[in-house]
Amino acid sequence: MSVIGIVNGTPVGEALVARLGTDGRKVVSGVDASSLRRMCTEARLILVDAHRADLGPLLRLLGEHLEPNHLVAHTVHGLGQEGRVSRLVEAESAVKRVGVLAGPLLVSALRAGTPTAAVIASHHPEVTEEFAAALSTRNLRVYRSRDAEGVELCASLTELAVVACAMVDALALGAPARALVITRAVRELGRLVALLGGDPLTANGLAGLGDLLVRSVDPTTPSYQVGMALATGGAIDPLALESMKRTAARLDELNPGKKVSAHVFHGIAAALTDRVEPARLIEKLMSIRVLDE
Amino acid sequence: MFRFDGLRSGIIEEVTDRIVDAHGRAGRTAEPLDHLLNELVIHEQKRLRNVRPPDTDEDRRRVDEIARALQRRATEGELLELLRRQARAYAHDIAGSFSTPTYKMATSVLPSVLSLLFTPQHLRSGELGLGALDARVRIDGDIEQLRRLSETGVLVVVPTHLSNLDSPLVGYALMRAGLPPMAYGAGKNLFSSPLTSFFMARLGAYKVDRRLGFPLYKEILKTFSQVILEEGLHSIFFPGGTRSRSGAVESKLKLGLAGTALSAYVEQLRTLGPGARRFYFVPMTLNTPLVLEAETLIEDYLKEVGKNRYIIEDDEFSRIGRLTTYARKVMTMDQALELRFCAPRDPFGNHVDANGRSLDSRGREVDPARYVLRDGVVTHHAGRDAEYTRELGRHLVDDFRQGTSYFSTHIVSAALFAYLEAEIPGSDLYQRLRHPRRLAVDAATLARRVDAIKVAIVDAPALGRLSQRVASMEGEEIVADALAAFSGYHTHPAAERSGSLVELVDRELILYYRNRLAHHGPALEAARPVGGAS
Repeated sequence: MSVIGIVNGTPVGEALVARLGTDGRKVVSGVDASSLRRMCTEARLILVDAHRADLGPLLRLLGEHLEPNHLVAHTVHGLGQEGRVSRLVEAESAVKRVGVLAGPLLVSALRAGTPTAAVIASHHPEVTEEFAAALSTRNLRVYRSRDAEGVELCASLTELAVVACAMVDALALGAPARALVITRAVRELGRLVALLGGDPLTANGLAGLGDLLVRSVDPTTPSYQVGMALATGGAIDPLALESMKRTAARLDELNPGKKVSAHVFHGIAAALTDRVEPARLIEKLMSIRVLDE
Repeated sequence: MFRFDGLRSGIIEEVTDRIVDAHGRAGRTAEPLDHLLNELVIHEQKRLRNVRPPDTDEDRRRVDEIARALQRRATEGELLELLRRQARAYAHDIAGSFSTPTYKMATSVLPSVLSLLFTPQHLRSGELGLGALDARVRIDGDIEQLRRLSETGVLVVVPTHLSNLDSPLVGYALMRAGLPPMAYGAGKNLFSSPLTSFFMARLGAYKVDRRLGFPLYKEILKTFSQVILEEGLHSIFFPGGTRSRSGAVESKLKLGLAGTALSAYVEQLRTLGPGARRFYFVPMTLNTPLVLEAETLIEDYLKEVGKNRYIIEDDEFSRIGRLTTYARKVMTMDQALELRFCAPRDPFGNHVDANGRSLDSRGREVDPARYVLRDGVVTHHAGRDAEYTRELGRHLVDDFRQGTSYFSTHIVSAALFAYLEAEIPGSDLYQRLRHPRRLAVDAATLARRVDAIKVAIVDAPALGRLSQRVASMEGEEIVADALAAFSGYHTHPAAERSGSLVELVDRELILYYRNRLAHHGPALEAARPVGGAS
């Protein structure tokens, strides 16, 4: 069984380390220089779990130890000006084989050992094969995908859809409104994925719909908290808000001139940047001309 | 290449053995042998119906024999023997026959021939030779590095492709750079003339028969390429696959043959270990202000039958009068062609230093062998290697863009096409091109747009550069330069001056030359008339 290195920069990484350890996997983890050196020596597979804001310095440090024969995957959410995280890994290291791990990786589920699942996506077959084998246990199923762009985009944009669901909850609009937001968001996500050359069906999978179904009912999820706070005027975690604003800004660049129809996502982007009030946003979304489903 | 004649029969046998080995072992892992041969028979019978005997009698006999063997359910051993004969025949057909005397003769004559072709006025003054041509062809790049790499490793030159004149131009560039001759795949249709066939077959060209699109032939072709690379023969691949029909810089590459360099490298590592030769990809851009076959190519592009008309037999290249007119035009334009060798890369897309060592994106040395290790052992892995090659292709596209030079013809066409878009808005491309309204733009306005495009090009060096001549010109001069270039070669000029106006004469040609900037968002943005149509 492969040794897996996990750069555990967030609670998800820590929960994964604990889960895999409990399920009998050999894991080397840490975020400091000596841990990174050690994991790169002992493991061929390296999973990077970090907040987007911490990623640059972390990758620079990790890049000192990564070799061409390493396979790297990441769990980083959020879009930034620097482009796809996979490309950042390549820019900071000699590694060419990079993937993304996404899906409903809830800390509570990982800690409790209840059944959960994720998807590992990469163009490189070795990345999907080896990470899926190393991460899958009796409590965690890791599926494989070749649509790296699609999964990476879904993992990031789902956060915005979670904001929308939280607003619906905060405004007490009910379950039908929530279903409306989720189904339209998934359809829009598929269009955005296709626009970037990915497979629209990826939006229906674990990284899109799967993640959305879980996080949109989890009050500990930062994006859910941001949505609630925006709708109720409560206090907002500035770091979470900043990260989502960056994603929102990047969305406008990815879909210039709203080339594909993505009303929910562009609406949430506007709400995050104070261009529209949540209640007004819902009103606007409900007034859009109804077309074929 | 100087060793090729001595290696030729050994290479053909090696290719044959590898094909038979691959399918002999098969049955379990690859496509069943009878399926493979059935597909061959279907394709070959179809092809042979359209080809006249007696040249193909031997082909027909072999194919009939395979068909009969399949009908009577021959044993695997018999089928393998038939596969061996067919694979050997294909490998024999593919292999060129490099001839050192022909190469020496050609390289002593080529400059004069090209010079005569390009500058016939020198015939009168007796100034034939390199001088006239050298002045008209500018060669860029770190030639010293390439010479050094060619001595220790294997070069794989990957040029952009616009014209059938590209092969001799690349050959000329290699010769002038002091680089060794190289093997290259050329469409079998180009061997149809006895004269060109004689030279191409002896100057490193091997035959690619594009009519044989079935998997076995492609496999043999790739194996041939891999084997000659393993033998250390430098190679040229045109990764666009065919001439750019639209005039755009290649963005979608066909890397099947180029991928054989990685297979060759892995095989070398497996057999030789650390002593394996290294392989270096050298992207090359061929930049010309006019393209000989522009009218045919853009017409083909617009018919959207590029794939169906893959082999154009009747373009301007086949008409000697047009060829001479083109050459004369290019060489009297006072514009140099710009042939540019870009920075070399290893098969994984890493840049290499002067000594051929691979460098990661932070400039640290990496051992490329470690990209193909599994549990400390060098392994072939088709999926992994295809992905490495796809990633390499992504870098090559960036290199092509960065290495592209824009001439006045491209810049002025971009401005004219933007004017056309503004004047006939809301239409699709075809309606726009065929709209009956005559269009002319004020020359001074056009010059201002050209200046704006020029600034946009300078500001985005990753997307290309101004040609040396254009760099020192102002908008008005660039417009005049382009109109002079357009006049007198194509059936109709793309645009021509009419008093204070510039008239859009051939919109398809304008589209063709504008497309060289199709990837250059800032330049196309700058080309748009301010406030819509003017």
